This record gives sequence, structure tokens and C-alpha cells, in this order.
Amino acid sequence: MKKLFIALLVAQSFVQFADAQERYFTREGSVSFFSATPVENIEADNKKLQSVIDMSSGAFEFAALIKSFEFEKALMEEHFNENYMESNTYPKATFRGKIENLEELKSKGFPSSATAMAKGVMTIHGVDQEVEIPAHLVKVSNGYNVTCKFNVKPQDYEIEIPNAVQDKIAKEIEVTVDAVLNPMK
Amino acid sequence: MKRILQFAILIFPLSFISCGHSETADEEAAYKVSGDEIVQAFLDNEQESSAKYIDQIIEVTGPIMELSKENGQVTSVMISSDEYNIVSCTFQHPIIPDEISGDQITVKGVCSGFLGDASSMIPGGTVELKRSSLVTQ
Repeated sequence: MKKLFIALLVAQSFVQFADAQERYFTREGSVSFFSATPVENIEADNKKLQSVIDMSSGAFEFAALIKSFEFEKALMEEHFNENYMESNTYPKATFRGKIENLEELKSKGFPSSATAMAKGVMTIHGVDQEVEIPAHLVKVSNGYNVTCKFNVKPQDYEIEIPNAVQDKIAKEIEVTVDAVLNPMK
Repeated sequence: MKRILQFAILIFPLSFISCGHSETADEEAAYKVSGDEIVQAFLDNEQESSAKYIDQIIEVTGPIMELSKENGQVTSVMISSDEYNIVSCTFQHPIIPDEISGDQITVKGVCSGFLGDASSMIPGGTVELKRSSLVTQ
């Protein structure tokens, strides 16, 4: 009985180890956005994007704190957090889902030319939206590099832009993601 | 006099809008804590800790887990005594690596919040500090 128990423990540890080996993770991804209008260009960076991808199932999660976006101008950052994103109420943005064509990418060896289709739920400003984002998922020396560029419409996430500044903020904001994920220990 | 007043009214908001951020190094920390202590506070009660720490300048001391560099200069540091519960600090200005010595570090920065959720695939919890500066004892 004791031997069986030990064998089960060893087997469980092995499964957990194997599971962890399939997961890739970072706390230092980069996410930035860019709003371009004839009146003004606005950009902000967040170098603390967190992400996990399970390379056995294709499940993934990205998460970023809204207040970790840094703007050049202090007042812009304040307006972004207090007036538009209401960061005290909705402190983070997430994207959870699955890579739809993971098996195809695996069979091709994750070439830079291939497109990974990331399908899931993006939550910004407390609003969930189902989205499908084409990304590049490339094998690098000790993990995977994820890059993508996509547009977000503030109105889709119930982010109200006052009339007085509507000509200063683009109808679609360009979001750029770049993250290198290493094996989770 | 009226013109001067009109000019001042026009210039004041413009100068305010173009303002950068204040230097964290010149500011007093509202709280001085260890890395483990602040992460544990968020794990115990995220709502209460968010109200207490977010947007405040926090001085954090703890073991260096990882330094990130760009062009040979340190741009951020992770403070932690374990693998997954971390204080992650982005420096306001890059630091010369020689300025950091030993295994421990003290940094002060603006707390932007906590990422950590039991239902998440992302392990552990992270307290984030932005516009941080190195505190030399």
C-alpha cells in the first residue's frame, strides 16, 4: 500500500512537471498603444505585460495593469486613468483564449511567416468582447516570441470620449504587443 | 494689465498640459515596506491594499530576483524571495549596473497595482511600481 502511494505521488509529480514544461510565461512583455489624429498623436507603453501560453492545449492568457501604461505627459496619463479608463474601478485588461491553429503551427515548426489565430475574450474597461487576433508566434532560443498589432475601438468597450477631445483621440487605437515567453519552472 | 491676465490664463493651462512627470527620487515615500510584506498585503486583501497603496510612492526593500537591461543599463528590477510573488519595478531613468551592489535592493516608485488571481493561468502575484528610483542608504 505504501509503495502504491509513493508511486502515485511520483506519477503526479511527473505529470505536474510535464504540464509546467508545456507552459511558457513572461512578466516583462511589452504592450503599447498609439492614437493618431491630425490634431495630436498619443502613445503609451507598458513593459509589464504578463502572459502564459500552454503549448499542449493552445490556451493562453495576457494581462496588464492599466495604470502601468506610461505616458510622456503627466496630465495625459491622469486623464487616461481617471476620465477614460476609470482604472480604479477597472484596473486591468485581459485577453484569454486559445490558439486555434496550434497543431498546424507545430507541424510547420513555428515559422515567422505563419500566422497564429488567437481567439478569445478581451476584457477592457470591464467589458468583454469576443475577438480573433492574428499574431506571430515564433520559436526562439529558450521559448516563444509573440508579436501582434491590432486595433481597438474605444466605443466597443464603452469608453466614453467627451466631445471636447473627440478630435484628439482616434476612433481606432493601434495596439502593439511583443513578448518573449520562457518555460515556466 | 488685462492683456497680461489674458496671456497668463492662456499660458498656464498650456504649460500644465506639456508637463512631464515629477522626479520620484525627489519625493518622499508614503510607505516603507519589504517586498514580501506588500505582496502579502495584496494577497490577503486586494481591495484594502489597492485603496492604501495605489498611486502612492512606496519604498520597497528586498532580494533582487532579476534585473532587466537595455543597452547595458538597468531598466527594471524584480524584488522577491520566492519564484512567483514579486514586486516588479520599472525605473524612471536607466541605472548604471555599478550603482547596484549586493543581493538586496531598495527602490521607491509609484504603485500602479497588483496582478494576481487564483482563477488565472498566470501564477503568483505581482505588485507593480512605475517611475521608480534607486534608494541608496
